[in-house]
Amino acid sequence: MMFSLNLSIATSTAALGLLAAAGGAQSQETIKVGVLVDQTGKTSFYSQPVTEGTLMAVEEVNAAGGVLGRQIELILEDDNGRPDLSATKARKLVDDGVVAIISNSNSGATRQAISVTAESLTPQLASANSAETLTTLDNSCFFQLGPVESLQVKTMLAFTKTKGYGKVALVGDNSGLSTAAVDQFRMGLGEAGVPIVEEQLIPVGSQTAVPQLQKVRAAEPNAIYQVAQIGPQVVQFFQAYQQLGMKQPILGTFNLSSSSYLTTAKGLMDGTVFTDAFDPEKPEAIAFSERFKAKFDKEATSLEAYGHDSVVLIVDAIKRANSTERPAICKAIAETKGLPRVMGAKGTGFDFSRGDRRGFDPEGVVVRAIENNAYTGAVFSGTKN
Amino acid sequence: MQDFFELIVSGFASGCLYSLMGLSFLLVMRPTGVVNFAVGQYAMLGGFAAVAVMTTILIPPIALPYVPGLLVVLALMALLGAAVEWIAVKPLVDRGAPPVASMLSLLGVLIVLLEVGARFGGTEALPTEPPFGFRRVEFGPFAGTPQSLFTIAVTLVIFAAVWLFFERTLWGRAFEAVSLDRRAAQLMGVNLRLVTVSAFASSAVVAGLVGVLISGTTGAYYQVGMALTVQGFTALVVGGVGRVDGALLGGVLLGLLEALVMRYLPVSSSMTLAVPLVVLLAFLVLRPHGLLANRGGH
Amino acid sequence: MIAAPLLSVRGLTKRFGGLLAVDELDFDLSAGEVLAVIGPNGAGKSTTFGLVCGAIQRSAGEIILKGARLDGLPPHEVARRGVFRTFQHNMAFKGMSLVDNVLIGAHRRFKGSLFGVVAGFGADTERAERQRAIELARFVGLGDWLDADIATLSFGQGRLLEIARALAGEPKVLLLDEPGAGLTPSESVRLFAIIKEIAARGVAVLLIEHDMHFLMPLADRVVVLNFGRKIAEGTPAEIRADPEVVEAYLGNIAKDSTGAGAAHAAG
Repeated sequence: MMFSLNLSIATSTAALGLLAAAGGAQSQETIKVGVLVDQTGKTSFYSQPVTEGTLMAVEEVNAAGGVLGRQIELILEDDNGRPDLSATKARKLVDDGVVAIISNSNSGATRQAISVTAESLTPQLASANSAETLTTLDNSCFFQLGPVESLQVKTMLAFTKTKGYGKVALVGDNSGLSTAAVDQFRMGLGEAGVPIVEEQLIPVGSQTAVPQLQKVRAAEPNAIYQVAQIGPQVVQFFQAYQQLGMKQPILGTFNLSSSSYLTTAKGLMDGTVFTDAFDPEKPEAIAFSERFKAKFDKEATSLEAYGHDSVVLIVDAIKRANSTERPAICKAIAETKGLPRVMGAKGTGFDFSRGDRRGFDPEGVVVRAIENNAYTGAVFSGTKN
Repeated sequence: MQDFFELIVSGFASGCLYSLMGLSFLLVMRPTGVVNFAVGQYAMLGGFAAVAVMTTILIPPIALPYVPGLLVVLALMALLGAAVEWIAVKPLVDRGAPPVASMLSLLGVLIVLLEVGARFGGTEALPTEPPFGFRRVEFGPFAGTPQSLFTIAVTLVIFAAVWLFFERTLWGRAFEAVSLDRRAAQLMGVNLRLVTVSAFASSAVVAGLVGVLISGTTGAYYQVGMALTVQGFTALVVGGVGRVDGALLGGVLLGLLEALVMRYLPVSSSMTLAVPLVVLLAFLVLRPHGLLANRGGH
Repeated sequence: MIAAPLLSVRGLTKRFGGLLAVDELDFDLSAGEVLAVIGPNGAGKSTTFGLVCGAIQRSAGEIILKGARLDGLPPHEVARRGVFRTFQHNMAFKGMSLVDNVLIGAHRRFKGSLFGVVAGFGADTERAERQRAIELARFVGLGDWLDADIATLSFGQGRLLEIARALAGEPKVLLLDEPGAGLTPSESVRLFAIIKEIAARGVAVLLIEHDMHFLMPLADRVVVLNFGRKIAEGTPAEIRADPEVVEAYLGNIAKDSTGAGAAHAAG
């Protein structure tokens, strides 16, 4: 899978280069946009699909004549997912004269690049990072396009209220991602006044979650929040759940939208609901999926959609600014409101009007379900009920 | 009581994986005196190899059924084990270096294999289709899954075969002779090279089998190696270093202990992986020869 | 001795740094013959053994078994061609049963390949080998200790076990490193008869021995080493009469060896 992705990125880049050269010959210079991507590191499994979406969107824009009559040229830099490399790579892109940087790497790498974009006043767009603290850094040109973690908690809690569970259990793993999610759910449930009768961790590297789930079963919760994030531990959760013959509803996170679980936990997840930032029944999503399928002959996931939306945002900003000057683009992005995008619930789009540099609509997270080992459309959305 | 009988099955199944890892250690340790901490990475690579040959995920044109796929993976693992010996151990032994030198170079192999695995398989957990499912099956007071019973059955067959080989065949006795006295065994006509290469190859095969089993339960995953290394080594120390039956006993006891401690003792569940470490320390201090005494030798 | 030699050593030399441990050594050994190598400590006897069985690599010279070169082969290959040895200090495989110990000696003759065994072939051959190992244990007088823990054997029994182990390989050449050392008188008598019997069955026996009482009636010929060089070769009687040998090594031993040797011969 990784190999084929690498290949398609390489060929796409080559194709873009040709397009860019052709465009440059007949009209003006290209508009350079940098992309920070983890192509070879430990987070490449999501960074690569995100970047595939970015590449596809730029091809579409260029095919339709580009922006301000100029073609967009993407410059990819592999930061290996390493925070110690990303700032250097960002500096290189700035020196190459990019008008903006799309950050498709992990949160840690994105954070380090922020210092470079801050001093050079380069617009930086984090396509899919969900870390809470990125926008708390002092950089008026940094924008977070995906939903932050706490938003999925808010949405799931709103969904939970509609169900009226009296007491719940919370199960995670001991990875940093999962413990952060556990903390947020604990806090959110506490504020909502829902008692947590059992809290368990499945350590990374363990071979079974039966003891943990037995404790959960013994505590007799009405529902279980499954917030483990590391693949094998997530699968162990579902195996133990089945093995112990448990029946409680399971509420999961963004993590479960990774389609590999449909194979690793095949048939074990039916009835589970989870939060997602992608509603396959949204008109923009349907159109995107069709175009993606026609081009790559495979199903699009939310990851490609994230990468696609970054290009939508930056093209719109350049058009409205009618300029490729970095500060002007920054200003235009910050003023974006109601720009349609693929990600998010039906009827939601980019919205930076709150001034917090977070562009994902707070009502844009959806709850989806797994039935017959397949994902359904949104069964719930937003934070109000 | 229901919980207890469920735990017995799942703890036993986990313990079987630890036993096999212990056996992987043992196969190299007996004839060569080398503790190869890279065995956990063999398991990781075995898992990815299973994904590669049994599913369309890593290498799309190849998707063999379970049994032929398993045989291909095990053959690849044998080649890998032999190659590791040839690259990282033989040059040192040829120059008369002590086993500890080989152990250090094998730590280098560990790092390389980890990187190779992460590059080849990526950092996501990848699945193979398990031959059996995870639906609850009950038999008497016990309850488990078909897959856990499959793991247990495979482990018992492997241990029976290895035990018979070592105890009941001339070749097995030759391996034992090498572990007791390399020089004398060589002078009796035992080919040390053949024994050493076979040891490394079979060790990789057994660890690779663990990887295949896990790829069908929780997925092939690049970080699976370290925990298995600790668990396998602990199984070996608990059961009695140097004994095939000891590795089985030690692994199963460790698996059961882990499960029971997690369920019944008031410790945080995040401490699961500390259980083998505590057990390992306790045995190294209180009973360094393990539960079953070693039978002579060095 | 009239027949072509089974084992020929020509110009065998071993240097350890500046030290010449074995210097241009020549000797022949025929099937059924018992050849003793004697000499003072440090004369190069043990080095010669190591060279012949491949444990030590030669500096120069040739070792030829039935017309084929042995020098340069690894020890297990030398053993596979029929050259076996026992050790001065017992080297039984502790932790294995007595019969299993003997079986290891049969390793070179065991036809089953490693893969064949893993695949489950060769069970019949194995049963036959085990039966043969038991017979060999009986031959050296250990028939009552077949299931004994190796650790409980006496020093002399350990030596007999090593001989049985070497015989299991059906050796063409058997190297015995001080077989008589540390044995009780009765064990010594038994060993004497066993070696005679082995030679009578056509095995070429090369032995290092310090005990002249044991050696003189046993050996057909004697090679005397001093500082790595061969200083004499001949029948025990000739060696006893050689003034240079007496000077270098035998001293008083030769003079009173006749009586004790006769006792051994009778045993």
